Amino acid sequence: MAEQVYGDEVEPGDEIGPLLKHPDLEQVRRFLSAGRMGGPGGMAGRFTDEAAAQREGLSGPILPGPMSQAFLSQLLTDWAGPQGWLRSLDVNFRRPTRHGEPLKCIGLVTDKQEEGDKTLVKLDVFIEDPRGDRPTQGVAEVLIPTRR
Amino acid sequence: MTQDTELQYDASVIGVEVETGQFEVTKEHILSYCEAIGETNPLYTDEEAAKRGPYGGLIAPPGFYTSIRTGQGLDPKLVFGNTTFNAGNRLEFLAPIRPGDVITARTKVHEIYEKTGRTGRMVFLVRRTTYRNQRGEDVAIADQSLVYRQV
Repeated sequence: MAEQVYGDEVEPGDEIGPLLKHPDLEQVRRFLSAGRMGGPGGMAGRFTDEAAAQREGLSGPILPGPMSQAFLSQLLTDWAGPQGWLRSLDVNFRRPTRHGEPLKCIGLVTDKQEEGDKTLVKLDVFIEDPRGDRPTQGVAEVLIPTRR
Repeated sequence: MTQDTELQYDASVIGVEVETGQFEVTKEHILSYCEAIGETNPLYTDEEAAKRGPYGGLIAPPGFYTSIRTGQGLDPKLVFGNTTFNAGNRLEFLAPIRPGDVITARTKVHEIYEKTGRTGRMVFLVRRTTYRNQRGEDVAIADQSLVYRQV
């Protein structure tokens, strides 16, 4: 198990990550398959097919939003440790994210407060592409233990 | 039908929740989801290590609920633009999802609103889905926001 982070070790301004990801077409296909998004009625075309994506006004196939969201969840649960709990995650898919590029998932602590025997940590989270754009960004709340 | 220039939808379905799916969670499904996103946390991927952890066994990672295929619920018959995208998701994680759980999803149209951005007029349709396990505990609430646009 990963190390446990405690409330007294966290301060607003702290950066967490980066969690590095480099999703390619094969990984997107696996995600769609595991997520059962590729079947009849699914929207797999824009995620896997150049021509289908271009018909929708995209420059090429894009990452499914739930995959970007899963990367940010992983950033947060890796950091929160085994006793941590991701309570909420609110993400905006501001721009399409293309495959085949290295992505950095990063969090910034914005606030913390005691909540019972836990510490509630609030963070800004985002995915940064190689051009420094942040196509996915959002906010999260994570409960971690408070050291007694 | 509500009509506001070319924006049309059936407002009577807003807030009306219907069952949109039921799904039994398996260890194999959790592991295949983890493999697909590159998840390595032993809480979600290593049964033996997870037994020694705070949940006493394997649980699903937070994003796993997106792999529970559900229906869309009632159709507000929203007519606008020529394409739709997932604009964002707001998620509350209330309790762990475990192998063997039977999860029932219930969905409602939460709200419909419009905005004008850099690229012109956009209409947002927010669906709220509540995921409940076989013990009657809500495990997650997800708001999915779809944007309708003209491109």
